[in-house]
Amino acid sequence: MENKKKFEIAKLATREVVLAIIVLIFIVFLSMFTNFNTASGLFSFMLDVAPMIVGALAMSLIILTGNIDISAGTILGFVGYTAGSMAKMGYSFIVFAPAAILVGTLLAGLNGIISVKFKVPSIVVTLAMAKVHLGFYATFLPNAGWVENLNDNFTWFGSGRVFNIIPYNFIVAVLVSVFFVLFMKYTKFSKKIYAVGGKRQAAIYAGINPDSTVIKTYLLEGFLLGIAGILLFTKSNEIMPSASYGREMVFITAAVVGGISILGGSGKIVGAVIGTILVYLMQVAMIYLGYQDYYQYALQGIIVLVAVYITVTKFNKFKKKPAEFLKGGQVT
Amino acid sequence: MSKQTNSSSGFFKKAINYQSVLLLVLFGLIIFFGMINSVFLKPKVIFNVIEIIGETLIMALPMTFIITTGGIDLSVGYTLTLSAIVFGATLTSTGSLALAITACILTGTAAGAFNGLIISRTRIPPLVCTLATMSLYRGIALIIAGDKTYTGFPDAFKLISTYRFGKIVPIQITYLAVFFIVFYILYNRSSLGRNLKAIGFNENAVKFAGVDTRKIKFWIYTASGTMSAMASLVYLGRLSAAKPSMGMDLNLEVITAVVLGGTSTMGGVGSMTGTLVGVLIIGVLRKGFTIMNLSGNIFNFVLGAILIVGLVAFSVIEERKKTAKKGQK
Amino acid sequence: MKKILSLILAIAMVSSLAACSSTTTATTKAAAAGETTAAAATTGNTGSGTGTEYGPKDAKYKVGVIPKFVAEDYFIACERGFATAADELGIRVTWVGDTMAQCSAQNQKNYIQSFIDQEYDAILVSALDPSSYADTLQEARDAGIKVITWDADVEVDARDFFVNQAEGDMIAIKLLQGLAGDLSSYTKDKPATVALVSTTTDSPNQNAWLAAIQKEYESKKDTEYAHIKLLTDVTYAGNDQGQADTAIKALLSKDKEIVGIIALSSNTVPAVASSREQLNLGEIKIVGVSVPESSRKDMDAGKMSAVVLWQPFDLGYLTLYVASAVLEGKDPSGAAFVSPLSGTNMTASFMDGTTPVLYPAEGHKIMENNVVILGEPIVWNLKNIDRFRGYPNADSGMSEFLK
Repeated sequence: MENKKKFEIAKLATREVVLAIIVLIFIVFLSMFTNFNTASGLFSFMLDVAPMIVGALAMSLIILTGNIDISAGTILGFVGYTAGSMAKMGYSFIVFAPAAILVGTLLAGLNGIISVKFKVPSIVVTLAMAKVHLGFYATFLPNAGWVENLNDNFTWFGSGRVFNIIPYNFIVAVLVSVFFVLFMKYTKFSKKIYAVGGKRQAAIYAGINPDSTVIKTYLLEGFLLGIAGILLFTKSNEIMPSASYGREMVFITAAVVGGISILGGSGKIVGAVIGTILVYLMQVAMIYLGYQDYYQYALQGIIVLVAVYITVTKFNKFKKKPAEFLKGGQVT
Repeated sequence: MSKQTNSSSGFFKKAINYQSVLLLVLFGLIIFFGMINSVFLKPKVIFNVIEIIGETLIMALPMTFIITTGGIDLSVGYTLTLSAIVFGATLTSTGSLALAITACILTGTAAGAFNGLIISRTRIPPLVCTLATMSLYRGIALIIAGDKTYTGFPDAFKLISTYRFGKIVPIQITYLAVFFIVFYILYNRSSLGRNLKAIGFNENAVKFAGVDTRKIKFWIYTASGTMSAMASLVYLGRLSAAKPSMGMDLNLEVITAVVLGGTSTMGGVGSMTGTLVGVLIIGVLRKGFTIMNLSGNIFNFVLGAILIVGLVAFSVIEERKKTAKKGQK
Repeated sequence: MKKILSLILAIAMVSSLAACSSTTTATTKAAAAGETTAAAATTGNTGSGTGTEYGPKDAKYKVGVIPKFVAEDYFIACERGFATAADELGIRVTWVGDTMAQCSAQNQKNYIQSFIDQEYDAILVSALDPSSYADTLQEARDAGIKVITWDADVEVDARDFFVNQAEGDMIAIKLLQGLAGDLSSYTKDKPATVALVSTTTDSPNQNAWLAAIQKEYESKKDTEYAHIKLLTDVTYAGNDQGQADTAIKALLSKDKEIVGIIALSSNTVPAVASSREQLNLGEIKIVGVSVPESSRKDMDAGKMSAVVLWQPFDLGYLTLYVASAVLEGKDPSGAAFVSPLSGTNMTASFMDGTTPVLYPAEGHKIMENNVVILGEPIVWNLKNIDRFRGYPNADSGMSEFLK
């Protein structure tokens, strides 16, 4: 028993704390050399990182079940388009925000249903759906979904601040994060998520229905993506849905850096939040150092490889699971 | 309920059946487009289909191997991009076509080998590995090229993709046929092919049988990289310019072709001829769409839809197979 | 069973195609009804994924038009210009392209190839890439198809004519003059730092403008522009909004001294405005090339004084007229080419919003290498913004058209 406790603490100290320390180092570095320590710098930081946190949370849930969602970015686009066009038609925030969130929920749910009911690996479903979404924008939405010149009934939420520093967006993100950290710790549903992702067969024997759990997780993901979309798009006065294709990579990177195991079944939500902040700070640092954004692609790739390697290998060592449980290959 | 007794021969029969149906669909599509616009049936236009699917087919061949083992390679599109950029950069700075081609193929091979190393030596799943390397290769391509476009390729080079025998029959037919035959033989008539399918079913069983699965996995991903580089040469021959934004959509095209052709993403089951027909179907669709003045967006949309519909159809087939077997008991 | 499923697959594919063609037929019907405004408005999807048809169905000539991309304000305005001219000239126009996110040189090449296959009479393209299309365009010309570029050119010997919006030098001069005027409070001892922002390193238009700006600056940097310090490095903001935002943020964070920016593409202008707000920087005067409507809010808020552009609607309109002349065997030659636009209202002056600025009655200038110039660049501000044709609505700015 005592050994287990030590091991738990050791594991905790290894991941989340290390990440948090790195984040602090970054903050110090950035404050010294840029306008990060000013009110506007902080504001900008919080504004930008808020939707990323929520998006990474969404992705983490999916990864925990052993799945993935490459269409998260394009779903964001739909959320944005719904919100924007409704706002243009004159609806107020109270109306278009829930509508947009609903759209996100349904689309992600669709991914889940197809993947589960037809036993199609989520990688392929969501890869295809991303392209279907993109094609849908271009074909069926006016102006390929591009909405511009949005008014204050849309942008007030994104530009509003409390105490003149903290953006509304950030407050929402914090609330959502806290909620989910607690959710993942204390609810029964969260245990099901971990079980289904960890060892599916064991979950079935324990009486859990993996299919319904996965679908519900996708719905939850979509809901979170809806929120992330609102946070993301109310910042600016125009929306280009097709531009959000690719954001899912950032979410995946953040989740993976935060310790969410790509094999499913392990990882802490708090880690995902810290991971997001870290990834965002790295982006900011690179911008200030003058690196163009294409270095980000390379960096993201390397980070994911390193982070996954750490998670997957250490996991093996600590838990000493039989090799066949951790087979590489399919993510289903 | 007198369905087939021996599931493996039943499957075999089904495999042949499925591919013939695919062939029917292919011809059906050709006729369909021909009816919409008779221009489509002109020999020059039909042969143009072969010209535009060159790179897809070249990459789909090793992809069939990979998906048969239950893996996947998402980085093929950007490996092509990276190889093309290296080609362009080398050609521009040294002026030597031979050096450029060598550098290009080496790059693709290295990229594939990197994937192969990670996938065969660590527990990182192919999905995540190639997702990450996809980003990485794209980044490297951008870092090398910036927003530049490399041009000025020698005319002789362009001929590999644009030459036509008698002004009609594209030169692609020659080397594509060679590639296909090589891969077909490896897949269907060699122990490698058998091993691939076995790995897809149950990798550990194959390992215990003494086969070095690590080596196999390493080599198929490396091959994927090399073929991506070859594909980039063909692509460049047509486009005669190398930019970092090339090859973005090819991932989906290649995977869709392979899956459409009857190779299951679960692994263990597949068909090289199916891949060929799948690629041709995609080519016909693309050509047909452009003749109908439909843009590339719709094409991607339909491609994604086909992939999903195809996979759904497959799984329904699998379910029927299972219930059929149960019915026998 | 599997046969049925495969059949379903085929049917699914076919029906999705049918859905697409029905959109095309709808637009065709509207166009045939001769109502230009209705046609542009019915689509609602100006620039949807399908090719849009304009002009009479049984026209003598079939012309394929390929913009750089669709569903973007600048090209929407051009499209409406083409549509209007199509009805006037009785030419069948097929407008096809991809959205900004999905456009590529390869796709444009495919469209060119398909027009060749369908035996169109002329292909009009605004090229994303100046050097990739030479062989396909040659194939077109070998088949007797006329090739005319507009808005963005390819190699000179790969096309018959190029309809350019304005002379690069003039655009440069207007931009620099406009900005210098705005920054007149600076002096030679404390000059204003001005940065250049362009789209991508390989856009021929932008590169020509950059060169012209730098030349203009060099020639007068001790006199007219003595109070300006023009940075030599150019920032490339790319073609889409997200990229632009990131690049501009980086630029402004790196060099805090920048007080003026010359922005050479429609995307950079809103990006600069928003980066300025987010980084809480002082006033930065922006002058740029942009569709006035997209900068309307910024101009309203005083963040932008003016933009330089032209009438993209007229560019499309003129291009089709040039194409028509070429098809009829009357190649533009000599010093100028006369079109219905000549001698009519180009816009109203930006000084007072009412004084008419006209296209020269003697015609559109013809430059060497078969280049037809639409006219002089226009300075747009709030005073004359309502004269901008073709965007946001089909009838925007049309009240003084051809008058």
